[in-house]
Amino acid sequence: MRHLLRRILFYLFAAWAAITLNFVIPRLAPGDPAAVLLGNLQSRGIHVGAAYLKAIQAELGYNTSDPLPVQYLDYLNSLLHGNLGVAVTSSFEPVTNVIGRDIFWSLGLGLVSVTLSFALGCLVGIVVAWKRGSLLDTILSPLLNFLSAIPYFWMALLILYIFGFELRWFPLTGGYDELNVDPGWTLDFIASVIYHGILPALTIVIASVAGWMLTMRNSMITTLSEDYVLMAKAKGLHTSRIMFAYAARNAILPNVAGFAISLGFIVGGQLLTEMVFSYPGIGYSLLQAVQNQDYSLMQGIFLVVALGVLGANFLAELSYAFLDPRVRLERSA
Amino acid sequence: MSLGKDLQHVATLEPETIPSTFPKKFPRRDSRLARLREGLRLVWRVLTSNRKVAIGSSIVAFFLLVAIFGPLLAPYDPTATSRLSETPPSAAHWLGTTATGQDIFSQLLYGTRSSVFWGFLTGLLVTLVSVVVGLVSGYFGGIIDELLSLATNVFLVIPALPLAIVAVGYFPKGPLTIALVIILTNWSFNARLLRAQTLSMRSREFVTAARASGESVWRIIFFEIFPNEIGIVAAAFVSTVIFVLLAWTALEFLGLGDINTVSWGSMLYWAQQSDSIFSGLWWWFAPPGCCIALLGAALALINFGIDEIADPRLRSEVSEHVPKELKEKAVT
Amino acid sequence: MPMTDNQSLHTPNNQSSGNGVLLEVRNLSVDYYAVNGIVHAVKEVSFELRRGEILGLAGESGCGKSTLAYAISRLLRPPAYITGGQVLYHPRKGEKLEKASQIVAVSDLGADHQSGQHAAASLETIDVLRLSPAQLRAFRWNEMAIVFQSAMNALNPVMTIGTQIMDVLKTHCPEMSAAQRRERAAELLRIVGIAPDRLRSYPHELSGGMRQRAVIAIALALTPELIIMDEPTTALDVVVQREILDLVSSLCREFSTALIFITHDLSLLLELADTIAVMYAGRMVEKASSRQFYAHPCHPYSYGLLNSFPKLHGPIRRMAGIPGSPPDLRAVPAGCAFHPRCPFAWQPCQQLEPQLQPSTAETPDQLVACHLYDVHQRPEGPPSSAEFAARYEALAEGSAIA
Repeated sequence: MRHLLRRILFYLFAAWAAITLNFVIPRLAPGDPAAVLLGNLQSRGIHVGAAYLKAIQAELGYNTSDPLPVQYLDYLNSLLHGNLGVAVTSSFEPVTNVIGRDIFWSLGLGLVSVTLSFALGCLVGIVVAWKRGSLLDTILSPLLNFLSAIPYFWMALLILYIFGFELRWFPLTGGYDELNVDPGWTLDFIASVIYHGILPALTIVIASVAGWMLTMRNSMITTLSEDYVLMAKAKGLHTSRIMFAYAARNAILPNVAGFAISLGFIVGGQLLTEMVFSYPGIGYSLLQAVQNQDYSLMQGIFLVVALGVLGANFLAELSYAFLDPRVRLERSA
Repeated sequence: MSLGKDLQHVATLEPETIPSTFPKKFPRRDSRLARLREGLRLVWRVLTSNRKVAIGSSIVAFFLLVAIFGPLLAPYDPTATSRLSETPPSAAHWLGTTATGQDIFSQLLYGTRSSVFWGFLTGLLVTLVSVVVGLVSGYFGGIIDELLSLATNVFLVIPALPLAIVAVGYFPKGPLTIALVIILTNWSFNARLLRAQTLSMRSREFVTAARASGESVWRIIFFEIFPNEIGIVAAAFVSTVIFVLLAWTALEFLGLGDINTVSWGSMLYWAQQSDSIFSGLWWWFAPPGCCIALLGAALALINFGIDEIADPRLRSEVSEHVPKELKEKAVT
Repeated sequence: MPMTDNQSLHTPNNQSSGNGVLLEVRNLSVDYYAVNGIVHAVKEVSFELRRGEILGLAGESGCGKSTLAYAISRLLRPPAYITGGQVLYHPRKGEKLEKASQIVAVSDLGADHQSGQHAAASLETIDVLRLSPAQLRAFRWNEMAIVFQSAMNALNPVMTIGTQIMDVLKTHCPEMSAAQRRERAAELLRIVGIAPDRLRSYPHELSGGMRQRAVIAIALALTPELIIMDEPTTALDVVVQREILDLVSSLCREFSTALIFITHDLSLLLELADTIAVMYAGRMVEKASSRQFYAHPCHPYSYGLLNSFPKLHGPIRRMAGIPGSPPDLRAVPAGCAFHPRCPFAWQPCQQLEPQLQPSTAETPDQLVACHLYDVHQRPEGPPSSAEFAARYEALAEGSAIA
């Protein structure tokens, strides 16, 4: 129980750190973001008055006349009320609305692809370690090693080019067929979403599966030389039982423990993948924000992604404690 | 002690088989220089003894050579535009041209210099920060360790790329900004690794001896302890360069770098901006990505080789000289 | 291969009488394919084990005793491989046989150097080294269980003790219901002296002694005919060691289980074992009943081992110990591997490898591999105990001076 409390405190602290970083970074920057934004708007032919500029400044939280602590409290206060400013790229729509609309696409894509790649990576890792030295092992391990070094966005470009442009098997952009299908819980819509999601998901799975698989392989090989695996063999248990309940059950722990680092990396990759596929998730919005210097939207997206990753990591830690009975005892002692 | 275990060690020649780490005890020598030399010799032995490491380092060496001499061989000015736009690979333009008629092969040669230079330099700086934080945190312990560990763990769980995007977005575009931001977002992983390593080394005899002889704290940390971790630092550097390379190209791809310099990332940025995919210009976006993947894979290969040296069980190929019929009979 | 296979000559091979031989090991050899050469860890070891017999296997670490145990149970992992020999198992008649007959792999003895004379016996014989993976699975634990050195390592850290016991029952007795399995698991824990509510404990929640008891409980789950214990008490403190030994001893008598008990601590064996076998550099150098062995160890090495620790009972002997250390198995001395350390070593010891045979005609059960007992090499007969003591003392003094 004490261990759990410590971890909750840690994640609260990490969340606070992310929120504060989000506050500090713009204020470390040279120049006035509001002025940049104004210039940006004007260059696009949108003219706004001085009063509007002030309003934008207030919205952005750059009311530079206030002392920093007051700004910080204002910032925390507006966060508490779910106010992340307005997104210029999306005709001054509140950032929370933009993110709220996009997040489901990203969550869906992310959940499906991370689950797939984790399951697939672990499974392949188990098999490859079990058949160590076999043809499968000597071919698959270096191949996946190569795949893991490919940048997500380039993998996305390549897959989009081959399966979308050349072969024309899959659509080139978007999250669903906007012309022919209306959003809703209809079979057509769901099928369209899946059809559009296959390539982005494939990209993420291919780019991230190697990491899980290689960790699993190495951990599994170490575990297979443990006495309890030998004893399970001596007990005459079935191979599948030894492989999963005795070896893999223990070998998966480093993968779960390393989930945090991997997830942060994969989420970054997912954002880039969405950009390439013009997938209607927050990654695509992030690209719009970056290209148009839409600071509020950028920061809002960072905050949401950071908090989301923290939450996912906390869940991973909870499951780790569930998977490894020793943790509860040792760490709280 | 059972014989089985004894002999497995004989068989693998590895008395300590610790997975995924590279710590090797170095014998205490009289001079620190000797220990450093020992460390470097180990790095060299690692470079040559394992096949994966050998292949990986050859590829890396190739890229380093291209980075140094490549621009001298470039047939064209990489930024010069021409009327020959969007031409596929030919004898005149080995890798074809861009939408504005720039020679992609020349761009690739120049881009290699920029990307490899910044990748390795930033990787070095990231490693430096990790080393300082890790060693200080591990050696001092107490409140310093608590605070540094907390910072390390926080940066470990905050997603690096979104943070980097936000941070880069606010600052003037340019390689310096990207380098700084990448340092900020990537130092934590190896810092944690080195902290653990230093922690285990703090109570070793030679450290105690140095402390007793009144050496200053900084000398102990960087001249007594650090040379012993040179192997693990080298491995950390290699993996860091991969991450840095990926982060760097990602930020450039988003147009957050200096889009007017030629690098792998900016080539991909322009390729994406000109919708090269939808025009079928594969020769534009494919080469820079291939280079990144190849260099990254080579670096990863080096690290896997190092892992295998530290823990021979991880090797794919098992003792080839065992008679086949014995292997077949030995089903357990 | 020279057919000085005394074992098979000295024991009747028709095992139809139920109290006969349970396990026959014939010329078993194990090699380690090390990176820098082949290591002969076990060399042509032969012995027999009767039903209910407790065999103590002793020797310094690295002598091949554990490797022998793993080879018998076919648990060797690369780079260790069995390079020759046989392990024959004779299942008990009756209900056990029925179970066994499903898995019996009648060894085609004709293919080997054995002739048809064993055919009658082979009908009920399991050739352990030739069992297919499926047969091996069925054979394991039903007939032969194994207890590892460290209970902490032998127990799956993320699985409760109860599940690890019930796993065996679930696999081998599919007819049992879940409730029956739980009941049996609780009963097993009671037998080894653990409260049944510990079924739900994880290994790390138990003390070292309790863990080893739990492992023994798992070993007893199917009341096997044979249990192999590989240094089961080495990791424990002296008091707990004593408790475990008493438990093992009483359980084996109660269930008339045959036991191969491996240890480097000869003093444990003198009380526990019926028979003691000593190994040196991969070979068995002496095998005798506990009493005979204690009264009169034949091999100079056995004598040295026996006198390297103080005794509570019996005549006061001078403690000598054996100077030197066991050989590197990659470079075993020619002839008798022990000769560089042996106080009696003379010319034939450096050239001829002695074979295991009865020490004298009067003691056919005490087997020794030493030229001292070979009338051709040493017509004057073996040395007396006093001579042993004197030679060792001289050796100890010599080494002390040197």
